[in-house]
Amino acid sequence: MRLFHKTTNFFAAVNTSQGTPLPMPSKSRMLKSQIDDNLRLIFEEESQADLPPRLQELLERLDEIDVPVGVASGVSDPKTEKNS
Amino acid sequence: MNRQDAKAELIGHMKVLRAFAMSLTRNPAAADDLVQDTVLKAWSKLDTFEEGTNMRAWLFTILRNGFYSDRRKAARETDDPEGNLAGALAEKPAHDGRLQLADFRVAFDTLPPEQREVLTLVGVLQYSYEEAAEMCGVKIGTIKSRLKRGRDALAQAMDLSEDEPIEMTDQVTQSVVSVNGGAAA
Repeated sequence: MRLFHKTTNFFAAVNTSQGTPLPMPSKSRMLKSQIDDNLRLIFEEESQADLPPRLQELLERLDEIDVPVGVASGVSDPKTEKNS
Repeated sequence: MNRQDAKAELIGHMKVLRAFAMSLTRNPAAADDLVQDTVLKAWSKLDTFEEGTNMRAWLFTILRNGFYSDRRKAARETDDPEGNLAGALAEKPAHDGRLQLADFRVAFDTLPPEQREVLTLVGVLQYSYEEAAEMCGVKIGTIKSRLKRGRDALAQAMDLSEDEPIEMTDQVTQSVVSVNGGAAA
């Protein structure tokens, strides 16, 4: 399963197949890329960690959980609940 | 949607869901609590999920709504309505002029969760502004603003700005190369 929603090609906007020199990305793009890449490294590390036992147990026992018909207690609809 | 199919898809999103919870809470135990609540809510409200739509985005929305709901409740209990306490307690990272990942992580931890959330959704997971706005229940302009403020704060915390030259360290080069090579897994 893909981790990221879409793929990113940093040089896509400046790459050419004509053999001409690639222009240097602007400082702002470099900075943005550097920040996003570090964010990605942190997120990737965390998303590769094993699930803790209690979450694994929860998934294994999910079928045993009674699902209330109609309204589930304490559950809000994310489409109607607006937050910050 | 068949519950077993939904369960299989849900399991497939669990690690990313937990990483998203970590990006909001910056605390493993709190992230696990949040994921557990999210799974239980999603499971009990599965009939409201529209088959064919993005389950991950649906789960993210449930999770972040739960996070902010808990945060508001905690802020009321500690008389800290703006949630400033955690930010005030956080230390600024040490500066050495280079983008060290450990320092970067500390800088990221000090950001308001609203900014961490948008940086994760847009900067990391590549959701569009529109999709992030839908998930966060805010306008697109708010998403852009939070994204810019978050990036600016990270750049400032790391002693980097658009006006300063960026040292082409191996790490920077590797970062660009890894992104260019397609970081999608």
